[in-house]
Amino acid sequence: MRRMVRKNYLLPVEITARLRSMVKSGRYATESEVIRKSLLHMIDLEARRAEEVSKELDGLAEETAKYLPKGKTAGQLVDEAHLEESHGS
Amino acid sequence: MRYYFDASALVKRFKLEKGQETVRKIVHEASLGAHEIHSIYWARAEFYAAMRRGNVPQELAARNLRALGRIILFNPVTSEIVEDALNLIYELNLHTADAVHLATCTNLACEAILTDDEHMVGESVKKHLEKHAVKLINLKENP
Repeated sequence: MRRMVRKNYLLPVEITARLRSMVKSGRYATESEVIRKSLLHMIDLEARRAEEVSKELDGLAEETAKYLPKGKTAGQLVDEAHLEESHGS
Repeated sequence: MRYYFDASALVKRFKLEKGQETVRKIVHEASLGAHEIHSIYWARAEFYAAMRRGNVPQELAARNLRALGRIILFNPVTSEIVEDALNLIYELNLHTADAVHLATCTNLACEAILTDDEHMVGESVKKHLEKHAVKLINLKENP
């Protein structure tokens, strides 16, 4: 089991740390079971992080929408900003 | 999939209008690791200018950029990109900013470009993108 967390396996630090604690706990019988559980845990963490980022962006979009003019598209706003800078109007 | 967002696609994430859901979906999938989203560092300045044009407070514009920066890779402006853009300004009769976006997109070998900019969806740009096997996603058409 020790071989699994050796440096030449190139596992990310987070997974290696998690594997160590799982191996030490003695709850898992095989290497593959430990790796599977560990990867599932990482995937779950990533999914939660993605949800948080999406929620944050949705909140920011709602707040930003209060200011942005309704009659203009995103493309038109960028275009107008370019023109404003070119002509200083 | 490897996407490229121009400045208008970045602004679209915060504009509740046609095409926003496409941007939202791709950004969410990228945060799950399903895609890579690239843009150019210069687009951050364009984004800021558009936010100011829309009277969005600076603090909110900065928060928006920080949140986008957690998902989107803002690539540096290199001399190679500028050289490619110089050719596109003449070849396709493009504005400087549009030429820089197009040059960056092909330089980074992106597979699709998202835009809400009418200058980026002309026939000559479409042909150029086809030549480089880049799919054009026109957000005005609510894909």
